[in-house]
Amino acid sequence: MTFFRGLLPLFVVAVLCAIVAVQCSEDNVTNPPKDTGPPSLLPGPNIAFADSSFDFGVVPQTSYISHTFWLYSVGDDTARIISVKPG
Amino acid sequence: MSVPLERDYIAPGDSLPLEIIFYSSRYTTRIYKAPAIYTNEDSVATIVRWVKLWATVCSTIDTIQPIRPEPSKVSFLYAYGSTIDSANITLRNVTDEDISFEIVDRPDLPIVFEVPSTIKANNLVTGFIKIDSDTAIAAFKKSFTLEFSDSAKSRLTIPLKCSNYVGTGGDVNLSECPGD
Repeated sequence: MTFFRGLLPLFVVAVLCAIVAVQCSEDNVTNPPKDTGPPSLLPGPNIAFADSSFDFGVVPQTSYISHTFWLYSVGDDTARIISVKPG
Repeated sequence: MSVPLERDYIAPGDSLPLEIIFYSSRYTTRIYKAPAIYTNEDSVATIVRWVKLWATVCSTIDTIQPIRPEPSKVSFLYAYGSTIDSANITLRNVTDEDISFEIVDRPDLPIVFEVPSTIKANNLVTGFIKIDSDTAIAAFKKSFTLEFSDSAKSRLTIPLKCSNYVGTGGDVNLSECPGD
């Protein structure tokens, strides 16, 4: 009897876990994620970079090399590039 | 360094390529560049954003690289109406282990880089770089960047230069870049 009394808390926890699991499962079925539409734009002009650094590694002297960064407008207003100054 | 912009604005949801063209003439070592981009993102003050570039400029690439290209840079003379412009290229592995590579940056042009991507130890592979277009391509200065599988993850950039060339109808004149 003492042995079963010791197992009682474990049994209760197991039952509670089962109930929670079933509840979560039902929630997933009855309440699918709502379609919130396209991500909302930030207020004003805003620019995001896909990546902002690049390593060419070894390059020969006296030659032209190039890399293209991509800028994305993530604001609700037109972003302007006022100027670009070489580093 | 030059930064030709196709336009100076980006509409909401749109994107803009920012191409950085770098001329390595004046340098002989590891360099770091950070072009500054000034934008109107703040209504009061101009916002400055930076992109960062690193390169190791070498007059003789074969002294430090586990993979040695031949040639180290390629120049096309593109003839209108020609359908094939290509240059052979060899990558030599001077280490005692097999090395593979992947292309981590390439021009946004119809250019094929066809070289076996695994180079056995102390061996070489040969392939070609080819302009794959039936129509004329304006002059360009571009490059391919390769990243190797060695422990240092070495990178190598192969410059490509194409000059408009209005030929007389003969063969395409193709040559290794003699040194700009």
